This record gives sequence, structure tokens and C-alpha cells, in this order.
Amino acid sequence: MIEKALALARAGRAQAEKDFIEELSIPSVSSLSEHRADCRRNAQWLVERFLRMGMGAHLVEGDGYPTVEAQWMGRPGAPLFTIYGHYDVQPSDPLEEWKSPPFLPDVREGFIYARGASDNKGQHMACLKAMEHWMAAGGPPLNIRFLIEGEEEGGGPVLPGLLAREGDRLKSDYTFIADGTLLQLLTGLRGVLYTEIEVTGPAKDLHSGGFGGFSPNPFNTLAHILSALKARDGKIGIPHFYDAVLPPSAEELGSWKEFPITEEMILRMTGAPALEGELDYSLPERGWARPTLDVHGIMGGFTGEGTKTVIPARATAKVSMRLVPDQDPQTILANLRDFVAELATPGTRTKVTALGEGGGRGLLIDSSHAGIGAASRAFEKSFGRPPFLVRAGYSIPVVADFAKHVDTRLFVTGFGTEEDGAHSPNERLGLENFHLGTEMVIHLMQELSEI
Amino acid sequence: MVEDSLQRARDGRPQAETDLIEFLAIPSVSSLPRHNPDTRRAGEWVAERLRRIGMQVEIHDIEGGWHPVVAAAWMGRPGKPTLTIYGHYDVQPVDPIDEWISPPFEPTVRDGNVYARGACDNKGQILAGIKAAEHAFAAGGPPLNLRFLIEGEEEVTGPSLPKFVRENAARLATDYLIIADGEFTGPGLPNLLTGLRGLLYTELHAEGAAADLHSGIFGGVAPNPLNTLAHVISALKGRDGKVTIPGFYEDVQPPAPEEVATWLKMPKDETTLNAAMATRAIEGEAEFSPVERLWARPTLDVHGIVGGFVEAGKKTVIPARAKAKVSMRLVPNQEPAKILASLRTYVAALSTPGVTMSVTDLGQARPVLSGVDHAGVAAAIRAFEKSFGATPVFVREGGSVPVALDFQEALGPKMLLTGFGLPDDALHSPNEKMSLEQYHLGIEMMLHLMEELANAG
Repeated sequence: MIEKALALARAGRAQAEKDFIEELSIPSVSSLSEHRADCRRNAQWLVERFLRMGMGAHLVEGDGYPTVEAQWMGRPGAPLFTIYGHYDVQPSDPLEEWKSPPFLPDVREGFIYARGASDNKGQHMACLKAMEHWMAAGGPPLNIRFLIEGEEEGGGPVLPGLLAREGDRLKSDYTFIADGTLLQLLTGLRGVLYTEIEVTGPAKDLHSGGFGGFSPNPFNTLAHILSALKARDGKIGIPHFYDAVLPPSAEELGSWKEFPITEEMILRMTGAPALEGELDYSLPERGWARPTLDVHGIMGGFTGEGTKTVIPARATAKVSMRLVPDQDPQTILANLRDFVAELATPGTRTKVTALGEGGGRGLLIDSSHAGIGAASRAFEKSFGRPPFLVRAGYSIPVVADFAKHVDTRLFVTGFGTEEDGAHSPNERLGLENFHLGTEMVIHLMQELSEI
Repeated sequence: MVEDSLQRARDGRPQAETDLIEFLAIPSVSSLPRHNPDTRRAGEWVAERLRRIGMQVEIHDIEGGWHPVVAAAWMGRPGKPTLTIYGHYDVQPVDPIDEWISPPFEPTVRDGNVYARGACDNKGQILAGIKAAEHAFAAGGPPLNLRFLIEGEEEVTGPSLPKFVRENAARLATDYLIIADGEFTGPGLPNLLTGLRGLLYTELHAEGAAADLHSGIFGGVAPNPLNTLAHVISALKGRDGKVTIPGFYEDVQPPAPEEVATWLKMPKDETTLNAAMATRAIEGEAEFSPVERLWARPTLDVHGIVGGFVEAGKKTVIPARAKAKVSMRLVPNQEPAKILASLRTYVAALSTPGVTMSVTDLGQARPVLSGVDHAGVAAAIRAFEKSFGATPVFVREGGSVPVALDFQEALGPKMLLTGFGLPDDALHSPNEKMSLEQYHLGIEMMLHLMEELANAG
């Protein structure tokens, strides 16, 4: 049976690429309201695909974009395996840096370039194609459920609500969070606290010729605040920020030493002239087990071409923190608010707003269950290598929702690499990785059914 | 003669308002290329007005410039002095547009004020000069020789008028030159300026990685140009208002104690300023009075920061690059070029290891000091007394009129720096306005000024 599914996958590569391109062409940017219809179209497109291969499928509606739920329960008594993915994508700006338009997928030198190629359409498409081939080969050896949401990039309420409400019904033996990185099985994820820091000064914009010298300037004050939030040595200045940080275990640190990442590799990947951050920690620690803080954009004032000598009435910075176990986002938010208020200059006021339900905690994932071994063998049989046990520096908030509400054994991995440019211009996925990923999922279903 | 033209000004108030509204409706935003045709149209509007009243008018497109210079002359009084009236027909951008009560280019009269971008800065003030000339011509011709030099690049510190003035100095000879681009010190309190701050407007560029990065994957190792810009900007001006660029204060010339003593009588105390800005505290160099901070001390302000994600919602991007718009107001005898060079070196040193910093020069203007002991000053004082019924005070201005220095160096006229605006006219801000009474009395002041200067010789 598995041979037939694998043969279908190998023979169906051309069709798989066509299907992949079809989904990538839908600009399902969940954070931009002008793409509302596209997000819904993408969800319908997935339902259609699942129905066509013989699964039950429907949209779970809520206050936002629907989650696609599909299942096949044709193996009574066999375990139930759930696959998670998301059909929404990041915005595509800065648009001018794309070599081909983000929603006109383009194949160049073995890679497919499009927004969502690696995050996450390539990953759930590999799973979807694996399921399709199993169905054509007589049905997979275990029961399958897909949950593909449309609010991952923006942190919407629909899937978390579904998991909280119907955790018992959604109980599953294993759950594959297919939003990770190739040949990496995750044992931990950082959380995120995303905030907006607003500084207000004069009631209205002023002319710097008429007021410069005594007028508060919210931009200058914001620079003082941001400069104090994270120092040049990468240390975050928020009081008690590091109090709850758990250092990784000696065992974890030992295995990370073998992880093939070097400064030169990151320099090549990013094109940066030098790396920054806490130089007293190794690269894997800085990327996975240490919290950090980044400014993403600053709003207000004059940003057009040329000159305008305005002292803006307000300035707002988007600032997020990556959190690690056991930092509590609420505690950090409260400390951040106090600290920012203290850092204000006499003529300004500050306001800190948390976006997205006040943030998500960092998480450790149990890696002692049998599913980990199955995934490891499936990687060996497809990609020819076992995966590394590592953590990730990013957040997959839904992992915490699964861990909290659904009785299941989790594993998090995927088929994209760090060089694929998730969230950046010219996002891509290697086509070979896409096809081998499909075979990995075919093997994974087999391995899980044999436990 | 002056009585006749004053009567015409008083009778012509409704028409003067119609003309002002027509002029204000042209969106001549010189810094935005999409408004280039509008900006030219405003220049042509001015030229047409001056031509219609009987002046010789030329429109000069200057090589390397963006918007034309309008030059007008009437030399019908041989033996009498020449007065040149300066103004600019370009205006500031209008953002934030959502804060305007009426659209910036649909002039609206409310409570005796006309609200529109450019109402005070500078269309209302130029038109006061043009209307005065119009009435003087209708009453038999001005009592002295008259020139207008009206530019379209004041808000962008463009090269056209400086180049035009320096290359044509001989044929632009003038005894007096008035720049009416300012505002009263308080309601009923006109002024004559004895100095202007200069300006150095720059963009600080910060370049990190080759492309935008995901902060989940690269946060902790990747350089972030926005974090670095915050360090750089935070260092450039301390919380105490001191600019830290090496050598920044080296050439600052303190004002004379008697000059400062006069300033301290001006309504620029902390309470008044907090009320004007609706702030709870003023900032800056605490050891200087607010009025000194504004007129005689240099400063540094950030106007905007470009880069990264600025839409609603969340995007966890580490931007590849970012830039900040930063300007410095300069005082005598600071040299913009010298400060720019020091800033360049300093900013590079303030960067972090993974970020490359560079500085772009977007415009320079040297500070100006102007004499107050010439015959034109006495004439202007009498003209203000006869029109507004108030004696002007000698003050400085915190803003810059870059072309003042070009006039001073190329033409060497007796200069009058003044204005008809009011302190709450919201120059460069939403809901800019011009008081119609100030506008009409400004026309009368210009008529008196022509008469007084003609008599002064």
C-alpha cells in the first residue's frame, strides 16, 4: 500500500507543483482587510481539495477567518493523526524588492518563489498531497484529521476558540504541527509579546522653526525609550525581564553544540555585515533560549520624499519581544508599561498597547513520546537523515492551544529552511524539499500506524 | 496719493478675500512631485496678477531647480529708492490630512479667519504685498520703484532663487528688501526681526541585513536598523536638550545681554508656551530661557522615521533598512557644512557592528543677523503704527528664511524681516489659518511702508 502511495507521489510531481502554484496564487494576506475575500477563497479552495479526495470537510466559522476541518475515519481502532497548517500569509511589502510578483509563483533553479511558499502553503500542501496519494492507494493506514486555519499570521481567535470549545471532540493520538523547519524536530518555541509604544507631546504638529528648542518632540523621546529598552550589547533593560528565564538543560545545550550553524552561515543567509546580540551566549542559545526585543516600524511624522520641518504631535513604535520559558507576558507587559512611563521626558506621555490578546508564552514540548521516533524514521526514509532535536526562535501560538486544550502528543517540524525567507521578499521553497516532504508524510502515516 | 490707495484697500476688502481664496485653492506643495504642475500654476497665478497691475514680469526656470522664480519690476520713479518684496508661492505638505477640519485646499472662512494650507505661510502675506501694489498702481502708481521676487522652493530649500539672485545681482539692485514670512509676537504686537536661525536638514540611513528578516528566526542574532537608529538618535540629543555632535556649539555666538533683556519681556514664558502647545512641560536646555532656546540656541529634531512595518496590526519583521529625517536649527555663527561633516563622522561612530550608517544632506541654510539701525527700520515702525496702531518689537525668529542670506550677500539691501501672521496660525500644521483682519491691515501696512520709504529716500 505504502509503495503505491509513494509511487503515486513520484509519478505525480508535475501535478503536485501545479496544485501548489494554484494555492500560492491566492493572496491570502490575513492582516490586510482588502484581502478578506482572498482568504475566504483560499479556505474554500482547501475544502474543495479535501472533498475531492474523499474526505469529509467543512469550514469552522468564528469571529474572523474560518478554519478548514477535514477528516477521514476509515480505520476504526487505528490511531487518529491530526495535521495542522495555516492558509494565511504575511503581507508582501516591501513589494519593490521581489524579483517576481509575490502572488505570481515563479520557478527558478529548483525553487518556487511566492509569498507563503514556505510559510505555510508548501508545508500543508505536502501533507495534503500525501493524503491524496494514500486515498488513491486505498486509504491511509490510520485515521486522519486536518485543521488548517486562516489566522496564524495575525493571531486570530477562530482556531484557538475551536480547540478550547471542542478539545474533547478533537482529542487525537498524535498532532503534527506542520509549520516548522526541515529536519528539525522542536523541543521548544519562543513566545511573543507584540506591543505598540505611543508617545504624545504637543496637541498638534508644530513647526520646528517656531517651537524647536523648547517643544517636546515625541520622536526624540521615543528614541530615548527604544534605546533604553535594548542596549547595544543586546541586553534588555526592562526591570526583572530575565527573572523567570529558565536556562536550557545541560543535555539540550550538549546536543545544540552539534547543530550545524555558524556565524558565517547566518551572515551569508542574511547578508548582514555583522551579527549582533548577546555575545556571551552561543548562536543556538541566542536564537532559541534567550528572549529578545525588536523594533518593527515607527509611525507618525513626515515620511514622504524631501523635507518637512514638523515636530509631530505623536510617534508610535511597533516593538515585539520574543519570550522564553518561564517568562510571563502579562508580568513583562506590566513592567514594560512602568519602565516606558519612567523613560518619558517631562513634556511627553506614553501609552503601551499589547496587540493580539496580550502575547503568548514560550513553550517546552515533550519529546519523549513514540511519535518523535516515528517522525525521525519518516525523515530518514524520505530525506535520508534523522532530524535534529532543537528549539525554534519563533512562536507558533497554536502549539500552546493544542497543549492546553487537546489531549494529544505533539511534534513540530516542516520542510522549509531558514534560507527560504519566510516573512521576507522573495520567499521560496525548494521543490525537491516539497516533493520529499510529501513522501515524508506518507512514511509518517505508515510509521504512526505501526506504533 | 496714499489716502487714495488706502481707501481702495478698504473698499476692496471683499475682492481681496476672493483673490486670496483663489490663490489658496492651488495645492502648490513643492516637496511632492505629484504637485509639480500645481506648484507651477501657483507661480503663473502670481505672475499673471503682477502683470495685470502693470508690472514687467518674467518667469525664470533655473537649471538644477524644481520650481520657477517669478521676478517683477516697475521702475517708474527715477531718483526714488527701490523696494523689493519677497515671498514664496509654495506650501508645506498637508499630512496628517485627517486632522483638518476643512480640506486644506478648499479655503474656508470661520470666525474671521481663512483656513487653508499656505494661508499664513506664505500666500496671505505675499498677496498683502501684491494687493498693496495693485491699489498703489490704481491710485496713480507706487511712490517708489518696486520689485517682486517670488519663489516656489522655500519649503524645500531649493536652489533656484539663490542662484537667480547671485547670477543677476547687478540688475536686481535694490535699496530695501522686505521679507514678510513671519508672524506677530502676540496679538496686536508686530515685530521686526534682527536674526533668523539657519537649518541643516538630513536623512540618517541605517542599513542592516540584505533583506527583511523574520524576528522569530533571526531575533537575537540579526542587526536591527531601527533599534540602531534609536541608539543613534538618542545619543544625538540628550534628555537635557544638549546636542552631542562634536564641535556643535563651538561657533555659537551668544546674543548681547540687552537683546536678551528685551526678549524676556515677550510673551514666551513657560506657561504661555505650554498653553500654545497643550503640553504639560516644555523641554530643552533648562539653563536658558525659553525665548533664548528658540531664537539664540541651536537644536535638533526628528521629523519622521521611514522603514519596517507601519500598517495596522502585527508583522514581526526585522527591516533591512530604515532612515530618519533629522534637522538642526542653527544660530550665528554655526556653519551648516562644518556641522554636516562632524555629524557624518559621529553618526558612523554611533552605529552598531551590523548596521552601516550614512547621512544625506537634504538642504542647508546659514543663520542670519540683520541690522536694525537703518532708515528702512524707522519707516517700517511708522508703517506698523499707522496701520496696526502698534509699535513693533525687535526680536529674532526660530525659523529659517534661507534666501535672506543670499539677498544679504548678493544684493546688500537694507533688510526688513517681519510678518502679518499670528502665533496661533498653525504654520506647517493641520488647520493653518490667516486672520482676515491681519491680512487687510497687512495690505495697508505695505501701502504705508511704500510711502514712508519713498519719503525716507
